[in-house]
Amino acid sequence: MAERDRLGRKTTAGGAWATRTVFGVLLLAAFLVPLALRGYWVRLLANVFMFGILAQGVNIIAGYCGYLALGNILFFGLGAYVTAVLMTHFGVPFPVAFAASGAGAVIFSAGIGLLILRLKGQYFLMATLALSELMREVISSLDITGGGRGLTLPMFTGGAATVNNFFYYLMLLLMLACTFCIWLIDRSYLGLAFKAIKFDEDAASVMGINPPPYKTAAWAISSLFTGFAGSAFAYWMGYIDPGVVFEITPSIKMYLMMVLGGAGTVWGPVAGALFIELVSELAWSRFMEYQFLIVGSILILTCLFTPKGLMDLVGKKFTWSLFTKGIRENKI
Amino acid sequence: MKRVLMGKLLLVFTVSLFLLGTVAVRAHAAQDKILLGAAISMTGKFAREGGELKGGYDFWRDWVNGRGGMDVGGKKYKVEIIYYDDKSDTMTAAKLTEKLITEDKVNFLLAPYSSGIAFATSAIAERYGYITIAGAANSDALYERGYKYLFSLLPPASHDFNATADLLSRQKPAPKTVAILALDSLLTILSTDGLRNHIKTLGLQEVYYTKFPAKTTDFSAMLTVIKAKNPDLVFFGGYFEDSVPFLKQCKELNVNAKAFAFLTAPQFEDWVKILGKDGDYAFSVMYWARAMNWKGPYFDVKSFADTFQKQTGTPMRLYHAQGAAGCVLLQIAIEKAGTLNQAKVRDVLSKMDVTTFWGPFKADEKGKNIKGRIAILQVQHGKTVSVDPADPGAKVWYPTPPWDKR
Repeated sequence: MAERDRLGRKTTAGGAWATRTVFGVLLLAAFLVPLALRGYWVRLLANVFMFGILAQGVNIIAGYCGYLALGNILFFGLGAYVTAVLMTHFGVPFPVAFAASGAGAVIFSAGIGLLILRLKGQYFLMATLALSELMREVISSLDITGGGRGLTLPMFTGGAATVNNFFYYLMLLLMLACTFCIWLIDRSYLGLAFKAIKFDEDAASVMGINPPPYKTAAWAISSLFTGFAGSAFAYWMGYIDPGVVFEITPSIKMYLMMVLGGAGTVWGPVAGALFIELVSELAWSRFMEYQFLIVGSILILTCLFTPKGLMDLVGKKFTWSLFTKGIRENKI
Repeated sequence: MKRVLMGKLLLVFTVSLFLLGTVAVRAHAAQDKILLGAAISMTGKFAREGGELKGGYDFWRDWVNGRGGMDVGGKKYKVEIIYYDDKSDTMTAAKLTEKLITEDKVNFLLAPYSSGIAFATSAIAERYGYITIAGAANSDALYERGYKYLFSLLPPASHDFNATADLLSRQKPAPKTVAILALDSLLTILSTDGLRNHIKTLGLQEVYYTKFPAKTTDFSAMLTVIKAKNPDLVFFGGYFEDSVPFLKQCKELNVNAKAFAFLTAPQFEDWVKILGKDGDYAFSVMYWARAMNWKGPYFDVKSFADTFQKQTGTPMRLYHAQGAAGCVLLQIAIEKAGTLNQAKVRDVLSKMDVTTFWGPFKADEKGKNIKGRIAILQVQHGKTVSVDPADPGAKVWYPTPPWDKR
């Protein structure tokens, strides 16, 4: 017999055990990867985890709250620069700079969020893009950030394996922490408030949810994840300039990952990051000249087959009708 | 029904692509071959430069294989190069460099285009003890990280404008004042920062300095100030897309100077096509010119250009030469070391004092090429002429006449 959790959702004991077992195996495998695989694969997976963090950041504000923060790369760049400036100019150790990057991103997003979270839909989207460009210009014109020359960070000491393993585990733990945080939110009244705002902000207000603090909180959490990722990226690469960390392409990529995996789900963005990065990897390594055509085609087809994201397939039987249903609903 | 069928077909197509991808096997390098690897920009913002660099690598590979291969310890080895597209993206370049080293197990790496990308790839190469001869990455900061396996083919970027300033300071009537404009990007700021320090040693006075952001098309505010300061020399640290509108607006606002000096923009064919006669008198920096007449063990300047044209059927361009020069330098070091051992080849490179068709190479303890030279070109009658070192019969056109008297 189906049980219900404290928010009234159906759960089944058998399903929970299966999920936990799969999750445990995957988690164990993820922690053992550096022991079994070589440098390139470790770096590739660390890259996937980084995009998993970024996609989770977008998931909170866009997937749960419905606010399309396309310029979220702003916090990635901000986090990267806080770390770079603190480490190069003030000799601050990485853990402190890392924490400061997260704090800086939260303070900035909370401050600016009170102003621009009054905008909705495409206006909010454009405002976040404009903010990202503005931050890029400001950082390009400051001496302390190195302007257009960028900043060279102190090198992580140690051999190739040590460096790769450090950033692999850092990104993995960070991604798991973000996902755990989203899992907690998803099960809490905070998550319900986010979803209520997403579906109908006016109706949510009528029901006693005051949207501004909730939206600000959502964007602050989103910026925290993204700022941490930016900090780790800066130390990992050893050199940053505004062109690298405020590049718009990753912003679009993290959105795509969230949508493809399942917006507003706990594991969707992680699945999306894994899927897109691995498909891209397969495409360029096997069909270099046609990589963009192949990746584009696969992404379009995946969206058509599973319009609600990859997580929508979990727990369903893989039948022809499941896939053709997606196509029928999308009127191909 | 038709829709269902189409859905099935699409699904089969997708799955097939995956399967095809996973079973495709790339041939591994056979024995008696030296395997080189290059993560290089074939798409993205550096596609043109990266493509030319690759053209230089390809030319050298075919040329060396045509001679029977590289001589290593008395045995001939054919050369094979694995290429990956870094998409002009730092992170992709880093990932691919790691793949070349750990998965493809290349014997040596060939460098990417741009200092920004080389920052990331050289860090990985250093950790694995792989040599990087940077043919197109000369940011000073790259060589200040204490790396032992990184070498530059070019002189440091901070010296880019110095030779032009030296040449102009020797002209009559002697210039006294200088205005400097710099695009806010890694190389242009380094070049102009180096210039700002260097002009002090020449007794020139800086009367104006400003940075401008990328994609600036309107320089009128800056030019109004420059016109009021009336400098003898104007140095413009920007790329082609910045330099052309800048000079156009100099004419429109009647801003005159005894010389207008640019980084590399005037040497491109489009400079004259767009600016016509207004493009004359402009100075340009060039890492390599035929007038330098360098002679190396395999080519001199002329024979390299001729062989390239003959072998590839395309005219030789600057980055072709840069790419091939890096390979020739590596070849000399490997053949001299008589081994493929990175550490031993690195030791040879660090002590080597050699001149190739590209010019002299002698690395300091940081890997910077301290003997690297820069040529100065000037546009004269719609053609670029090397004025330092001078092409036969070439003279510096100085001072530049005012716009209304050209």
